[in-house]
Amino acid sequence: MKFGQWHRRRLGSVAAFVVPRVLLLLAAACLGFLFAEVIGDPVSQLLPADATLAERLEMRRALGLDQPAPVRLLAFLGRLLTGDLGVSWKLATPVSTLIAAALPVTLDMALLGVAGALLLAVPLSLRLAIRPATLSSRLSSAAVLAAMAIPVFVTAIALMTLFAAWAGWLPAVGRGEAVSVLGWETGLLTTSGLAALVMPAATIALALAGQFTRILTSELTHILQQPYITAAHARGLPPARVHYMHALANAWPPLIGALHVQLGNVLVFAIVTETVFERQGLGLLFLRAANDADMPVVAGLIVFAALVFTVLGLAGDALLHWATPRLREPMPNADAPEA
Amino acid sequence: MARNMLMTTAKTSTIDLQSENSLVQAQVVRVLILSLVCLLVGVMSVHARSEKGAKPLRIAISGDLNLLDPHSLNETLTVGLIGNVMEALTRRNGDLKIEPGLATRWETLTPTHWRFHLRRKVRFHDGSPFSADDVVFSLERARGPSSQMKRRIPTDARIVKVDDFTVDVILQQPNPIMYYDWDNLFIMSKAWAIANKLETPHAATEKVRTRAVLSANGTGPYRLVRHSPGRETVFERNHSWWGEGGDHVEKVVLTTIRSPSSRVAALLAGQVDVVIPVPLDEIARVTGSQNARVIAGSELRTMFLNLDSFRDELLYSDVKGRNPFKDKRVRLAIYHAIDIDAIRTQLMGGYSEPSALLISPSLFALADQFKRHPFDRTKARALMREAGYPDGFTVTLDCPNNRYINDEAMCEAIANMLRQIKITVKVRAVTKARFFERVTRTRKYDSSMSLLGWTPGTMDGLEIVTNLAGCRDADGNGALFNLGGYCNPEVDKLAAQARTETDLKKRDELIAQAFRIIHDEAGLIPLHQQPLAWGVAKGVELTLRRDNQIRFDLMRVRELTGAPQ
Repeated sequence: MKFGQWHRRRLGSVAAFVVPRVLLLLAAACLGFLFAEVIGDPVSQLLPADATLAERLEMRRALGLDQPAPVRLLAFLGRLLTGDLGVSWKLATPVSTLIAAALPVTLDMALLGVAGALLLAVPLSLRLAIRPATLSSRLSSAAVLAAMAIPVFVTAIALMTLFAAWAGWLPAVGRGEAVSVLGWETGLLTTSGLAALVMPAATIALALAGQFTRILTSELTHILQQPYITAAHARGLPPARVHYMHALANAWPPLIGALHVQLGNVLVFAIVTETVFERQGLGLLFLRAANDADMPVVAGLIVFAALVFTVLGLAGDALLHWATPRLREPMPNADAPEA
Repeated sequence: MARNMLMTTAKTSTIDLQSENSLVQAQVVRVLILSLVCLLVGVMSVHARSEKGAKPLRIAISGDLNLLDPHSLNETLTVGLIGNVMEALTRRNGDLKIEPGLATRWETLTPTHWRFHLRRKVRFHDGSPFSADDVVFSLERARGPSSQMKRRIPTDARIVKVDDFTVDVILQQPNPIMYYDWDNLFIMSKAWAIANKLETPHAATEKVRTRAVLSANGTGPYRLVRHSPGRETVFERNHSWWGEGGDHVEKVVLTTIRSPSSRVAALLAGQVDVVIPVPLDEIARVTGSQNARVIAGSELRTMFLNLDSFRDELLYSDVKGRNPFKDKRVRLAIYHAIDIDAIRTQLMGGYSEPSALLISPSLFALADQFKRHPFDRTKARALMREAGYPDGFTVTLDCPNNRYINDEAMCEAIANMLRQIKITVKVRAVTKARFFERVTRTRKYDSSMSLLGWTPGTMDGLEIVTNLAGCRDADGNGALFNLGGYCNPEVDKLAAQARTETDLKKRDELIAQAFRIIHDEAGLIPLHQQPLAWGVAKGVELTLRRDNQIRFDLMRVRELTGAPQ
């Protein structure tokens, strides 16, 4: 194996990995800037109705809005490179501080929601894959489709009306108490925090479960027809072990791919869910900023979201590599000298 | 027997580990389910337990209470809430009548020389005594460049301390209503402000906020205990307040719930005691419940339509070569075509108050003289024909969709009504940030027709005439918020006279004459006073202030249950 060639190939593959992602981040940053430009007039949101013309123009100058857009875009990108996401005009706080405060709130809910979705989807899809023709399977299939079709805010409000307004079992809004673990504030470790998480997480879980079930079911149906499954049954392994250890283990790769795609959905669902349940997370932050025409926050959040997607995409790809040993092996005969 | 058991166990153990695995799996599932049940039970019991004990009055609002600098932000929500903690020279009661506040009485020694006599033995929440130094400092601070309250004090006025409890304000021109909007011009402790580096108001463009700007040191009936913007703000009764506060609520906890249906759900679930506001379409839900009710009325905000009568040709219409809105017959036709009562009953739940004026009748003494032009479609069509538009025309109506109550629905209703007189209205509804960007001076009044709501900050009719209906140029000089550019020099002349008229009766007469002209030629088209609805839990009573300011001293609690019935 020629040393230089191998390393160049490796470098090439790493570059092929990273460069498009960096370009994507750049494009997302420009898009974020553009979106911030069209959400409205920030001056009218910062000054009272009776502000004079002179005051408005002075405010525009102070906010830097008298500069032409390309100049501002370059300044924005420059600041991003130094890690400065800007300062909120309405709240006079750095955007990174706001994100740091809001992220745990959204994460609590998103993680629990995704976990809930998987908890619902995995057994259900196994069931559907093993016994597709029974009545209960058909009913559950229909239920899953229904869950996918119902808009998130309908689910959220329905849950809130049922469990909070009528029954009074769970708090209608808020986050409950949070405790700090290694500098990270989470509501997962307090009773009030968990109580406040049940409905938001359930909303997200119901919204995601449908898509996961569909993907897993089709994948599992295909896998269960494979010869090695029949062989495993023939060896006398208990069905549970066959399904969970052998079938499911091979169904992960497409699910990880689907998870990455669904991440975008999780963010959108989070915006709606946080608005309904009044959780001070990233979704609500974005909504408030858009309403107040708070340009730095809007642009900063879009860049942050792009960053998160990129990082998670990388993590997903790495996970995929680990989960699929086939991809780790070098191509056959790629480096062997000509026979 | 034992040997048999041993043999069976041995046999079982050799068959495989797999069945043991399933056993383990089953155990795990059982443990999970059990712990989930325990958790739920624990959650519910803790939830129930935490409702007993000391009961604060819990209020949920729709906006954000952010920085607490009293001169920084001129916005109803902030100013109203700060008004529980801080006080001004005057105050307004539940009916919005002016009463003495930190000034016990005031007089004009000459038409331009005002004297305020201050209340004695008043202390700030940090214990320091209140005196004329604090008044002079606060008024000067409110006049500073970064203050949003500066228009409440004439720029050329001199503020003079006469002695520890007397302050003079000396004007260049007489202004009989100078103090009308001073009930929200709060007095800060000079010593405290200097010690906390708050000599000047926090500017809207300041990138950093000091911690002190999230606290408030006032003389009011409530003191601020804790404030996390957007999350929770806690107030406690000030037992050493100078006024009558015997039956005030002891403790108030304020939170924000932006989504209207969540706000109502929280009220019905017993999670909050007062919600402000209740959206109109949820009123029935609250009224129908056992543990809450709605308190409703009409607000000070007047909704009206602006028509571009400034340009020679409308920007967003199919009429070329002339501007239909310059013709008062067309404007009157539009006025007559609007069935404001139908809007009241169908869109506003019956709670709005149709207006004949551009100001709430409760703020104008001579309001009785004015009646709306009646809803009369036949007359409207006749006027359109007379004006030379027998086949009508098209025009775009600009509307916000998240600023006023049912704003977009109202625009759509008006569009439908105007269609009956052959005016095809295209409704362009956008978010308030984008709406105000278009229709105001920012984009040079880039609209042909728009919906607007106005609450006069001075609580007086003159500002309506000067701000909304005075003559202006294309850049807004003259009347910044006259979106349609309506202009009648007679109106401006009357306004100029009224500005310096010290006899309040004569002054009202002059303003009425200006209103009469605007009314007769439909310069702007008034619609209604916006409805206002708050939701309260059983056992809570409150008086609604028409200016929508939230004052805890107007709330009483007979009994708070804090749990659903």
